[in-house]
Amino acid sequence: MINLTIDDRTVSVEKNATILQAAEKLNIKIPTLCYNEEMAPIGSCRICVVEAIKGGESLIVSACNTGVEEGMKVYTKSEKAIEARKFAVKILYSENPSVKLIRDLAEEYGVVEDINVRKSECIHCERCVHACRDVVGQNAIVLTTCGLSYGNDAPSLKWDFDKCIACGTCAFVCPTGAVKMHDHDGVRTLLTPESKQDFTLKKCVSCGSYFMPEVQAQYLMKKTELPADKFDQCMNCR
Amino acid sequence: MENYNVFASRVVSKNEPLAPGHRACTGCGEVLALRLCAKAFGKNTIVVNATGCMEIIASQAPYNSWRLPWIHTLFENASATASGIEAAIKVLARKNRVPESEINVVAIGGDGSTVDIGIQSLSGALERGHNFTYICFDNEAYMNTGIQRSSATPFGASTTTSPAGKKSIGQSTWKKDMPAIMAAHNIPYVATACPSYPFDLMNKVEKALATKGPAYIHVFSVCPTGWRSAGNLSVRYGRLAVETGVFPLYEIENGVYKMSVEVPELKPLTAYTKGQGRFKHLKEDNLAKIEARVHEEYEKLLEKCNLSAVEEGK
Ligand SMILES: Cc1ncc(C[n+]2csc(CCOP(=O)(O)OP(=O)(O)O)c2C)c(N)n1
Ligand code: SF4
Ligand code: SF4
Ligand code: SF4
Ligand code: FES
Ligand SMILES: [Mg+2]
Repeated sequence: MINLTIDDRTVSVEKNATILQAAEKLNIKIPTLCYNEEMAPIGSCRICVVEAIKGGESLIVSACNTGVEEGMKVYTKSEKAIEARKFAVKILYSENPSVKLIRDLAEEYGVVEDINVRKSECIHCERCVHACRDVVGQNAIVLTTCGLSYGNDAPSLKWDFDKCIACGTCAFVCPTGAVKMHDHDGVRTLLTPESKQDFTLKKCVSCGSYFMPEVQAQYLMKKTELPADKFDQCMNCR
Repeated sequence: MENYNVFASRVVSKNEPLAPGHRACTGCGEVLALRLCAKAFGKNTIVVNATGCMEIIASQAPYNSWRLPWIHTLFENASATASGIEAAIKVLARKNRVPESEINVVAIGGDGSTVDIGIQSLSGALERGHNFTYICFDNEAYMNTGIQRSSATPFGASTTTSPAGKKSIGQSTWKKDMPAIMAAHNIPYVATACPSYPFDLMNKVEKALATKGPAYIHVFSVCPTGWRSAGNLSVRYGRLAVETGVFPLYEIENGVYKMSVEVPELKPLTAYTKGQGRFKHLKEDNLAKIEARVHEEYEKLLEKCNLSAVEEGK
């Protein structure tokens, strides 16, 4: 077990625990955006930053993906921590003032500037990218990051619909609703921040209800090596 | 509704506030519903549980399946107890002893406990506007004591106190429309749900918890023991109840009706009644009568949803 203090309270946790998990044990709340308990930490939003003092040195670290260390002193509400978090909120707020989650954070941290760079609901937390790659295994979403080769373009997400199997996991994990999925009239529509794609749904041969996207049935057929007629019926008729 | 199926379930919370090892029957749809609700409760929820199957199966002394603060009440006072807890949290928050906004209060009960016996204290708590969520797990009878009819038992169902026989069709009254009674209190959130649609159910519980003020969810819970249906078909029966129009899934948010699952063409009622021992005695004309009523109620609900859509569109 590793012993550390968070906001001057002592806690002892497993050696591979993160600062976020240790804080949770003490019921100390650290805000998160990109973090999803069921996925490996992404560490992209920086909203969870805290001040960590180790070996006499004060560092600003993200709590969701920084491991605990013996004797570490963590401050979640120190001036330095709040300042750093406020900066993260500022960046998000200037890019995504229309997202309620971000507006609430801005209000909480007293961030007022709204330079309104973009109107997208996507906050580039990358949850969808990681979920599609690590959970679904399709790797159909690519984040084109800002960097020298991209000039001053804002980062954007590209969906590769040749790889996508219309499972909607990206929509499920998206914290802002920037990805949406819905079924209607025999079609599943996936709405992403920058594109819209329709997928044909399969019709049950017995009762006639639509139950699964064609592409997904094809994918599962290959994966499970089951014969095609195993994918002809819906869950009720099977 | 978003039909996430296969893959998204891998990122659903693995936290199980209702521990395994409880004593519900094999194939119990009610405990499946409760487990999914508990996942949505998260870590900061106080559960008030009226007597009934879900209380009995989770609390065989000296054991208890709950990993959350949990209190057992009588049938008649679950909502009163929840009201008191909510008021106490307010006082403690005023004294800076707890953060008020982070603690949810949820009261749960069966249909007998909610639709019959606890309705007065529930009505009072809604009327006073307490910030809590009430979830009714409706398995359409008093199951824990051996299948006695309640006012939520559907017309034609045979129970021990509404037995089918030469002179009796079984339950001779129509199911009480509890969500409508709840909506008549003008509370901000009312919804129906079913564990056969797990994402929809969890989403509705999260919404109810986030609602400021009272929220009510009516959860259709298949009971293979009381319905005399096969335990391995509980999830399917839940789906069929929705697809036949017997139990439509919808939300009433601040008075606005919205269908959660749109069923373009209702399946014949027999797809649902077939295989359930409680309906076995029903003749073709009985079933036709019930089906007509189901369709009539469904149409009425659709009309409310359409009206809401038009008003919202304005
Ligand atoms: C006032 C009172 N009357 C009777 C009982 C016995 N009793 C315990 S559980 C139960 C059935 C509850 O039915 P319901 O609320 O529908 O829940 P279910 O068991 O069906 O989930 C009854 C009648 C009781 N505990 N208290
Ligand atoms: S819907 Fe497509 S892009 Fe989204 S997670 Fe599934 S496979 Fe990936
Ligand atoms: S679409 Fe959603 S999940 Fe994906 S990066 Fe944007 S906000 Fe995050
Ligand atoms: S009697 Fe019905 S509701 Fe009660 S535990 Fe058994 S299956 Fe579940
Ligand atoms: S929650 Fe830690 S970086 Fe996003
Ligand atoms: Mg009951």
